[in-house]
Amino acid sequence: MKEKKLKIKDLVTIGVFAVIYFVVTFAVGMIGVIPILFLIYPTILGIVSGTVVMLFMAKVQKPWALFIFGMLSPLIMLVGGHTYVILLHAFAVMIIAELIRRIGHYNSFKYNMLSFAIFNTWICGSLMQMLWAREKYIELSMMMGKEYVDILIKLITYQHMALVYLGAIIGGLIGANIGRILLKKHFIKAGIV
Amino acid sequence: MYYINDKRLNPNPITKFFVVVLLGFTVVHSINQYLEVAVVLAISIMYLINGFRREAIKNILVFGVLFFVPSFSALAKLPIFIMMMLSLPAICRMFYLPFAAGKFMIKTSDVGSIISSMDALKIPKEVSVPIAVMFRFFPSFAEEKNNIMMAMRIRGIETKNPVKYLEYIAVPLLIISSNIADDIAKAAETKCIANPVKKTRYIKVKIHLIDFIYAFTMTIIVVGGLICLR
Repeated sequence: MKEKKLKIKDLVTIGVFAVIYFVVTFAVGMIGVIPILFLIYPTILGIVSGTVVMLFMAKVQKPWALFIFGMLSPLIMLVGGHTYVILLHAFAVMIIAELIRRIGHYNSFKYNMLSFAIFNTWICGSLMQMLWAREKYIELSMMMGKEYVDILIKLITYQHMALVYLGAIIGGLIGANIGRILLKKHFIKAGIV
Repeated sequence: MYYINDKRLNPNPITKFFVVVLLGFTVVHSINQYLEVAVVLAISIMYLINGFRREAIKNILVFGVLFFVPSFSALAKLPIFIMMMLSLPAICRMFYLPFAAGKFMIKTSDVGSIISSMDALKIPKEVSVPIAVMFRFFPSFAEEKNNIMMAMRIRGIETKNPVKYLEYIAVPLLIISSNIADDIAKAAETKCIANPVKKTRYIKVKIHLIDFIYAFTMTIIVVGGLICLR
């Protein structure tokens, strides 16, 4: 029977993969320069980062590994100038993802895939803080003209946020499947997993 | 690494982190404009007494530019596309205060003091070890990426297809990274990191007068700013 406690080796793996994941997040985040693309950012992130997270999940099949892994990126973002909102949001998301992974005993692909789809919604937290800070944001952009604010108010609503979440989950599912193909094609052959 | 002239003038990472979280509140609950200037000035003074003259000036200049951005665009009747472009500085301005404090934290504290302050806060090793590894791994990640790009150039591998390109870079990078992870783990095991005793550190975290000054100034400014707007 495998030992089910996180050892130093697993902790180091978490750290290394968190760096890769954060770099990917940051690189994909560059598309946020054009404001409308903000809304499909979670979807793209899911597709691109699927491989990294699936490889990580294949490597460390132990409880709480995904939870710690997922909390590190929000922590960096907090230092980089986000609010506590993103941390609380990520905490809730990670607990759900961890529980889903637990149902599949940490090694079933189906549950890992679902878990990643949920995991991927943590980035929506950065949009949620935009929603909660809406008054201030609108007040700031009031100077840019009435039409712009009208578009903004129409764009940032709870209904649209639900669509963004849905996009994140779909992106996660696609990314997980790409990750599975790449795992079969390269990583198992190279003896990494 | 960064040189810090006098340890007494450098607040410890716990205080800096507290200030970052505190300033995070200002994104959601806005504070008085002039007090925002005060926060930026306070951070610049902290840079100055720690000997980061360049960072201090840069901090003030960047905020000075951001401070005037919305009024600039009010003057111009611009088409919608450029207006959307201008919304980026507006977002930057929203997040600037916590960002400046976070940058101050990263620039002026070394890894050793961050780890020993995590010890002081009794953070379990399940969290502190990955964070320490992240600091160690960031530079070598960039190095490995450049090496792969160079290897591709030497062998004359060129592809315009972005999906293929991503695969060519990402797969070796992931394989190398997971090998490095194993190596770091082995190196740490040889130094008895798994030994369940209390560890001694080179750098001790102490609370100086400057910690109180830094934390209190920021708290007063933020609380005062919130009351001012009520």
